[in-house]
Amino acid sequence: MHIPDKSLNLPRRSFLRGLGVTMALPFLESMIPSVVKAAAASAIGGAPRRLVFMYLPNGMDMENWTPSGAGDKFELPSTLQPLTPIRQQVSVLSGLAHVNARALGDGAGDHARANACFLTGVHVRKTSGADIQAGISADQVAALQVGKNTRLPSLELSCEPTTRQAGSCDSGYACAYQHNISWRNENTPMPPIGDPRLVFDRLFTTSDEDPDLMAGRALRESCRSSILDVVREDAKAFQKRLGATDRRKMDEYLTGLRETEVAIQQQAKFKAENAAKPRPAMEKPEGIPGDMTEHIRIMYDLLALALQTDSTRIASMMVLHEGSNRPYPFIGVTDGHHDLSHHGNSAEKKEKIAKINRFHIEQVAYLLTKLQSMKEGFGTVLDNSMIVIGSGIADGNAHAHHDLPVLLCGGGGGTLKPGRHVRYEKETPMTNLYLSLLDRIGVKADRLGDSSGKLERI
Amino acid sequence: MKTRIPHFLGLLLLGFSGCTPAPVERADENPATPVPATPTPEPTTPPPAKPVAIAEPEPAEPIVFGALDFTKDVKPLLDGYCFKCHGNGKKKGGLALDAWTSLEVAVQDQKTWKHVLEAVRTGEMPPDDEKQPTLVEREKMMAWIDRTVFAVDPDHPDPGRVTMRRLNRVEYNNTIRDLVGVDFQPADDFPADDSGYGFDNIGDVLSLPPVLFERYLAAAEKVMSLAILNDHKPRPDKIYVDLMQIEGGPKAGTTSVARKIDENESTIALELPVAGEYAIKLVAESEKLGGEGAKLEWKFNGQTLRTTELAGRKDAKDTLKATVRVEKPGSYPFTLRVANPLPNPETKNGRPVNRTLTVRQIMFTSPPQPVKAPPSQYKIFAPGRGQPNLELAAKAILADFGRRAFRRPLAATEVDRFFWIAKQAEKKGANFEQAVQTALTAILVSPHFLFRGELQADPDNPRATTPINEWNLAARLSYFLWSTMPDDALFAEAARGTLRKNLPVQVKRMLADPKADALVENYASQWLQTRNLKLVQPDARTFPEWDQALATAMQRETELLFQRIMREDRSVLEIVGADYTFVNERLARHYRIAGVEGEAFVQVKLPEDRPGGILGHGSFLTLTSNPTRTSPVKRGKYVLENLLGTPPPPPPPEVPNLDDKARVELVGTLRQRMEQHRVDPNCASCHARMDPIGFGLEQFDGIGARRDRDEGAAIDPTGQLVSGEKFQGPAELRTILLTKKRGDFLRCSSEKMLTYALGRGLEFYDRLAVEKITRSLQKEPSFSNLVLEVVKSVPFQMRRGEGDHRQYTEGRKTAAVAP
Repeated sequence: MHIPDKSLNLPRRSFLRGLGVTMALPFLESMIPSVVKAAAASAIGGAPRRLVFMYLPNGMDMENWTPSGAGDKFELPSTLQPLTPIRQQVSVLSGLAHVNARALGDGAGDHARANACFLTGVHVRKTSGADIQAGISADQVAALQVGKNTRLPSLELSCEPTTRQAGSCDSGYACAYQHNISWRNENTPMPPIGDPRLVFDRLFTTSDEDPDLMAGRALRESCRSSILDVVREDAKAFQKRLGATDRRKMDEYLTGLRETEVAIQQQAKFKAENAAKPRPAMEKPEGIPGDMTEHIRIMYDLLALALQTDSTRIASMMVLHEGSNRPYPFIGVTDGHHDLSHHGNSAEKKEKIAKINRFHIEQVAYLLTKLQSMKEGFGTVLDNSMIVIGSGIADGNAHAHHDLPVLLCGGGGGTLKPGRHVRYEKETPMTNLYLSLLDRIGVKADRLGDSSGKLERI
Repeated sequence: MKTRIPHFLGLLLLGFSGCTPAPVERADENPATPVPATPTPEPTTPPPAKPVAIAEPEPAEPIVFGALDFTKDVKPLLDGYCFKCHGNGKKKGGLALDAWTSLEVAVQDQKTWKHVLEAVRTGEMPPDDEKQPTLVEREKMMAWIDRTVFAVDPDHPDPGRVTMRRLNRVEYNNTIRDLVGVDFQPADDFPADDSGYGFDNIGDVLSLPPVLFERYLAAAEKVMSLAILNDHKPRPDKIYVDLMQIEGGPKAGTTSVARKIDENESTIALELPVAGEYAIKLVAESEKLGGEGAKLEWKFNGQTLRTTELAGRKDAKDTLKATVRVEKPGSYPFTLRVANPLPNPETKNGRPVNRTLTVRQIMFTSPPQPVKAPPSQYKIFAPGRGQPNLELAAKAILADFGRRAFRRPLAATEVDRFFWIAKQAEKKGANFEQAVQTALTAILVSPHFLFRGELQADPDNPRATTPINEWNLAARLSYFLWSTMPDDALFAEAARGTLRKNLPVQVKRMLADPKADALVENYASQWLQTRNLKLVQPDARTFPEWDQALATAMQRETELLFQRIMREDRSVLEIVGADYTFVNERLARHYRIAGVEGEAFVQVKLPEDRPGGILGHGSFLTLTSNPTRTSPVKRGKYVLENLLGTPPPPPPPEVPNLDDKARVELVGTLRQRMEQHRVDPNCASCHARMDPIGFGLEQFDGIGARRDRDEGAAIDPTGQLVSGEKFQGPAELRTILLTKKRGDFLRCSSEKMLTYALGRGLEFYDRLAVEKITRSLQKEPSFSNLVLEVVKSVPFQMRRGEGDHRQYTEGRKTAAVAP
């Protein structure tokens, strides 16, 4: 296939469909040597392992989720059927739990807790804002240790609009809990970006291309360190004169500053190795599409590209925030998802929930298929990935936080054995799964949230 | 004596809604005496639920208790109503109310008593199937908790402590606009801000993740590149076509991001500034019809450029490109049409349907043009003029820009440090402008710019209180009323030290300034939640008339009401009590108001069947509905939370399964079905607070259109509030809010605005400030009085060192004893 002339009429989709072939593939071509140097835990054909966490809201209709058999002999229930073509790359894990998402004396607020607990495994503090406290999330544990190997330590994505709902969030919990699954530390969430234009910029646009920044670029870049040195000293001096809470705000500032410096160095390093921001044959998105399916797919396209181009190896995707009340009129579900999830055992409502679940799994199948089509080394990007897909709630009606719906996809660079249904003992901490996966990308972590050990048989 | 539902002690709400405790008494003639020394006789029976007298507003009178003694007044209540499950060895739900070693220890446990207060106020406890206390007993219990556990000393009000606030997205954009003067909104590329207590300007939750710092640096560099031109080479200019200005063809549904094109020619006259080659980029989409996508024929200056068939997929936009050449600058027609209309248009729902396409964007890129330094450059460099040398000029520029950016004067050492950056740039080959530009970039990523820090001596001492300085006061004022930095007049007052003295004058001036529209866009839209109209998705089959134009009109209606109250300094009660509204043709048709034409909004009298004020607004009625039907629960909750400041408690974590208990088939109107559903005593007590309010509004459907029937049956719009007031339909409900609940509304308005103004959640000790504002509003409920009282309040004017209220109180006691 030839690289199309951009001046012709070309729909965005046709670019994307051709992506696997039209773009420069780092692991097939000249980049392998440099990447191998950088990769801590490399896998098949020198390609690195990736770790991705994806969140789907409001639990699932579990009757249509949990397979009846176990091991590699099981039928995909109706919700999971869209995964049929790729089922050899998918394991269903049953029995995992997030006990810290339960009330534990804090009353209502299961959605906020489930969302914030999903990757942290902690019981978050109930507050409308004054003193938010969660914990570091699994993806950020990884980003801190192995994030330096890529241009971006981690990528946080969602398919939410940038405008947040006005008013208060879930039952006295600050909105930060319900809108962030990734947490840098117990106080600082890593906000996911839902606008594909901004994600594209972060991944693929360099300031070289902005005509407004053309003038004096070299000078500007060479002065950055002076600028950052001065404001760092200012922030430190400022911090000494502040009270405890404000000092924490300055900690956030200083952390951001330090990571920006690292990012600049990474950029320079990767640029020197000729691997700086790759150029995908994808038109820059115009913004958030009005159509939900298109929005999800374009975000999945970007996620796939980010992994394929090794822009990052750690990503989280909060597809929609826990408690999302979006309707899905395009598949005939006009009620809000959260309203429906309190189905009161109504068969009609459960059927609609299953429809929503299946819609999301169809999109997941789209992503997995895309990653499977991306060849690298002797395998595919999916072969080298570990993708956790799940929800912090099992049955939305009861707000149950055990027997969670969880998929583990990809080959983990030969370290996972997908294509099975594995049942675990009741109440096995979800965080045990995370520890096992962190181990596989070369991250040392003994504990995370409520973890009690590593998860076997994955 | 009239009795009313306990609204005081809304403390509980602390964690839930941002509304605070209400006063033990209010609107009295003698505000200096908060608790009368003599006991007031208590009514012995609960008040009769009388129909509401609808007349002039009558301030509600609270029950006032005298001194309350634990053993005499409180213990019997605990014995009688609570200990069955929470005492004498029982601790249902983990709660025992007699497990403390002494009363003194007991009253230290604010967390537990907060729960108790919440449960008692909302009627959640005792459960419906247990013996119920009288209203007076409930109020007595709450009064005791309030005074004892959450005691505040009116002589030493605790100002609390605002966490340093970073600029949120809106504030950042506005501040860059006013500071630099560039037409660029960098924060549109920032991640979403988290909100708390209902607002997105709360310091505690405005965190600064690493990705945001990266954005700050990129934004600063870009802003400075746009503000200061140091490369005078010609460059291309982007010309975006305003889709609203396209003439001809179908105009319906045109927005600034979408324009439909059909087989008729649609044309726009383009002003092209120079001769040369222009690149055209056009983004469009269409759906296939008859197996074929629409073919777009585009003409420039009367000549057909090409005809292109679009992919015709719903999920794909087409980007089309072309180039044209013009010999001289001037106006050129650019024409679009669909070249392949069906010979025989199909019919859908009785209407002809033909191939069309929707244009999303048209952009012309000009040939390189010479560029002029932007006005921002003159403004930024002006302070350098007349300086004897470049170093002094640079320092003067940095000091002036820094003062406006940091909202306070810079110390000489600070100027020196930024100047050092300029020197570094110079060493790397920068000219004067570039060197200054580099130093200014640093100012835009400095914490003193990004955060609104307020320094105080002894910041970790909880008993150290201090008035904020005049510069901080100017910033608090301008971000509160304008969502942006102070202007020159405010800075001048702060520099002279006269701002505090001239507050009323300045507040009045600021409210008259167009920038005060920020209060509508950022405060009202969050308080009244009209922002959410962008997110609601009513079901197209149930509500075929719903469209974006209607949503926008509804949002505008509520904004215009708030704006009028603000601009004409009217009573804040008009939020509920206005006897007029604002409609354009679209909204007038929805409300069945005749005689309004066009897009522009006009002020109209309301028809008989729609109450004035927010209760009759399509915005409120729609955003509290589900996609396919109304939700009386959500409407009731909205009124309780946002208008009365008495939110219901959240639902229990395990929602019981109603269908198992009531498996009978539910029939009738939504109301009838809900009432049949409400069999669980755990749910009934809270829903009794919310649902009746919603039932009273059932004559408005899920998008706020008037109706008389639901599911074929007549709607019963009667209801009774838990405090006893009965009403029939929305007009009477509104009257109750304006009379019996007037005090609640004023208090809630005070709480919401104080929360927004401070950028922190209210704490129980803020009730002194809230009471004071509310008392003033009882006498003079004008908008400017509300704002001024908020601005004059102790928490707005002062701050204290880190620590909680108890440390503040104890510290003060120790200090008083110590020599």
